[in-house]
Amino acid sequence: MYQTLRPKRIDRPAKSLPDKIKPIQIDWHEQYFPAKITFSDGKTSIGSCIRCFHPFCVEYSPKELELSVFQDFPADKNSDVCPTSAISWTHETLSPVINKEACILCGLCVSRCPTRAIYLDNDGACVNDEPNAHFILQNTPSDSETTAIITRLFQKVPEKGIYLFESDILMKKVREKVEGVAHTQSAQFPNHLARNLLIAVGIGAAMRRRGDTNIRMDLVLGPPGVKHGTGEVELGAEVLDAPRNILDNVAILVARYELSKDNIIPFVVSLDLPNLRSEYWQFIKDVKNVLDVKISSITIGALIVLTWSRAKILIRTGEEFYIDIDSPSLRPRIEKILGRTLNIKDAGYPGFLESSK
Amino acid sequence: MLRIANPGSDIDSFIKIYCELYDALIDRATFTLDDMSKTLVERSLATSCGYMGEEALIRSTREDRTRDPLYNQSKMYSELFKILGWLHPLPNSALTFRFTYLGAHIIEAQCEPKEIFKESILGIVYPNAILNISGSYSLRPFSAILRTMNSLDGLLCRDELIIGPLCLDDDRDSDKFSSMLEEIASIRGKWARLGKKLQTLSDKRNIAKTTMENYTRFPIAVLKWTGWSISERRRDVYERSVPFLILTDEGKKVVETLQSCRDIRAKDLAGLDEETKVSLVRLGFYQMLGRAGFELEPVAEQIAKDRRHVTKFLGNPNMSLIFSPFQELEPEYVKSLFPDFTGASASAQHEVKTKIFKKFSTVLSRISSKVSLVASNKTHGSPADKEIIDLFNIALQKTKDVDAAVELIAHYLSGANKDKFYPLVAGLFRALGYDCRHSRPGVNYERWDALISDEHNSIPIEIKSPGEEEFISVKAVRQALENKIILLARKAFPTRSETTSLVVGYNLPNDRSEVTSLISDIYKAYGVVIGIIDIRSLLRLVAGTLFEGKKHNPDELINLHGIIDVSDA
Repeated sequence: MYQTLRPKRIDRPAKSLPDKIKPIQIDWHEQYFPAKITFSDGKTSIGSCIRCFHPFCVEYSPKELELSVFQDFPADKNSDVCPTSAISWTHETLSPVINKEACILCGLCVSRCPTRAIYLDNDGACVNDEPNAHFILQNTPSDSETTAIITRLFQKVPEKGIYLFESDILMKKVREKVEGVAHTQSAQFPNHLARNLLIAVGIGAAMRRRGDTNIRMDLVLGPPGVKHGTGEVELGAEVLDAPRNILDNVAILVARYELSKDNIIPFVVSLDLPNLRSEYWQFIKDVKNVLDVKISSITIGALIVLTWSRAKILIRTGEEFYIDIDSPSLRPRIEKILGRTLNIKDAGYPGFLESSK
Repeated sequence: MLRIANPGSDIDSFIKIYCELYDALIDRATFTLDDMSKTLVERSLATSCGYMGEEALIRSTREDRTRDPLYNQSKMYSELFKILGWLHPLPNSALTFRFTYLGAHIIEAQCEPKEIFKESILGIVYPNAILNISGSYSLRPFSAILRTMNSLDGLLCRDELIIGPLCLDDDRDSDKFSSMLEEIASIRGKWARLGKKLQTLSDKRNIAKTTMENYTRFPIAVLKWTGWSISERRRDVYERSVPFLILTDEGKKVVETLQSCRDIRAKDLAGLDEETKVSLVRLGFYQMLGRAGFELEPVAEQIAKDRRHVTKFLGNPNMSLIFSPFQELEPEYVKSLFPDFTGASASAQHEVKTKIFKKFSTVLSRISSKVSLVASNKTHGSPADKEIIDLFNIALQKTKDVDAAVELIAHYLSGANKDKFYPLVAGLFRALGYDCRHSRPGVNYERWDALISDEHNSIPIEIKSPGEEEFISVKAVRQALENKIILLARKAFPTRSETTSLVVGYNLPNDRSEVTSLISDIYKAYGVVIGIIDIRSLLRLVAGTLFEGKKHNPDELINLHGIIDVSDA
């Protein structure tokens, strides 16, 4: 029988919707503002924090981090949604608190808020906790049942617009923020950031446990977005070694899981696409020609833009993000997924869309 | 110097591992290191020899347990969990454990473990009865580190950490503490002074510098993870750019808290009446939980009583204490003062039968390829380089024996850098009759370090000088794969996909299973053949060819797969 003491908790008064009223449309028209929600009574309100019992914006549930493939991969099951720990929700506050200094504008917390009460401004994420005509403060504390009821009502509600509209200035800022916080984070930060962004765009991902010197691959990938995959994540110049390292990953997965190399999608995730003069692009092409292995490349910036648009990736052939010396550009790939032209000139920040010369 | 184990520097994983072990093993009264290893593997928290799951256990288990990687990993975790007070050893068996009441609160705080972890970190103290360490010194390391940083302009580098707070005799002795601070302050400014001091310490304590550095890995990871410090390179302290830990505002607040608290050690309890002693133990523990955000209402009455009992000893009954009994006092004694939280009965004790005994040798596949030297009447095809012949002649004059000469040359090359080693390796292949040239630096399409040029079977060679790596590593194997891909794709020299791609290094891989597994995996996945040659084997082939009238079969070298095994037929 347990006789341990419990951590202190304050009661968080719940919010609920008016009787028989449900959300029917979510619109992200105005930047720097919570989403406007149209309800079945024909009126609109902005999203407000319902003090979820299980804080989706802060933590993944263990089930969400489960990967249906590579189940014995020694995964780091760090459940923090925010890779920089910019969002926190201690037992002493009513709603989540965001440290804008640490926020890198990735939009992960925004994407997970069931009532769209979290939004992005130019400096970072913000939480709206103000009650309104549709998010009515109750006298009872928030519990799992209330949270579940409201969350269910918001599921599958049509959603239009994007969290933040990309621009050269904004993407440059995102890059500076990522670089700026990287040195204050643990060595797991690049993998953590990449894993969470991949999950946000619909690719199942697990990251390796740091310190396990026996497993060298950074990520393994799986459904729903891809059948089997592996990832190497590099935020710095080491990205040039990534294709070599990822061939090692594919070989290990082929041998351990008796998969064909043709069924494993290798993904290099980097902050910038490597420079055109580097050997990276020619080697990627050589690997395709000699081994028939198509190494995909994607950047953190591209994943963030996709997250802002709630876009999902589906990898079937491995061609979707395969780019090499002949066309080292992600732009057509991203624009195809988004169904629109990107508001980014040239290569984007040093090279989030196109390889710089 | 304090020797702090380092099973890994990722604190999130470290806490997660404790929680998983607790979840798996709490129903047992006690558990062993093997139980821990089995849990780590079952829950995909550990691997061995590149394998996961049950296979990892099989590959790790050795008859000599001191060489068993998983067993050692579990041992390192247990060491840290013990000094954090989350595990206790049994009185009659240091390697059999049970969870503690403090450890149970880590589980209670699972979603926000940071504060109770920080308290456990501040609770670490030496000597203690948990690790059964005794000694005349007295050190609360993290308190000493933070106070040192605070007194030294808010910053401390790794080597200062080693010579300073981790080597303190008594951190409560203000004279000793000040003299440690003065010493670091006087060293600052000259990097060489710090190096000299570190070397002196290494000599005096007979601990290698690398080992001392390893002992700082866990403390540094903790200082960063807790947010008490951040790392930053500074040029203004020494004459060069050095990575420093910088005390944050949060770290400064902890220093203020430490300075306002009474730091109690086990020896302070000697001579106290039992009532006061027990009250101090309970107060120390409950205050620790209180600072970590636990609700103390259920024990408020007990705390009030205990405060009254310690008034005389503390002077002020409301004095805050830094004292973590689960981390310092004799385990059985502390256990007797707190509720039994496990409910596990002694009869439930059962050890896991791990079924992992002698499979190791039969499972582990090591690829090796024989290259045989056989007697030959033929004269050597092309003359060897004069430098190579001179090298052997000098060695043979000194040793009068071919094998001893090989060993002498290998010894002579032990510190060679790439400028010396690469041309020499190419020269040795030429001495074997191959058309081999080492690559010019900066030629992008020649990614290999040397190449044996052949009409049909050109072989790229990845060379690792002892200056780059003493033992051939997986990195070299990856590069050999890359070399082969580039050679096949760009067709600069004719080759076939089944011809080997070579790695030549100073010593064979330290962990042969890791390298040979990768070679085997690469072959299975891509059909690319990679061969590994150490310098002694290459020298032996050359010596046989030049001085013993023997020759090798070139096909054996062209098809070399795995680690070379030179045999003398």
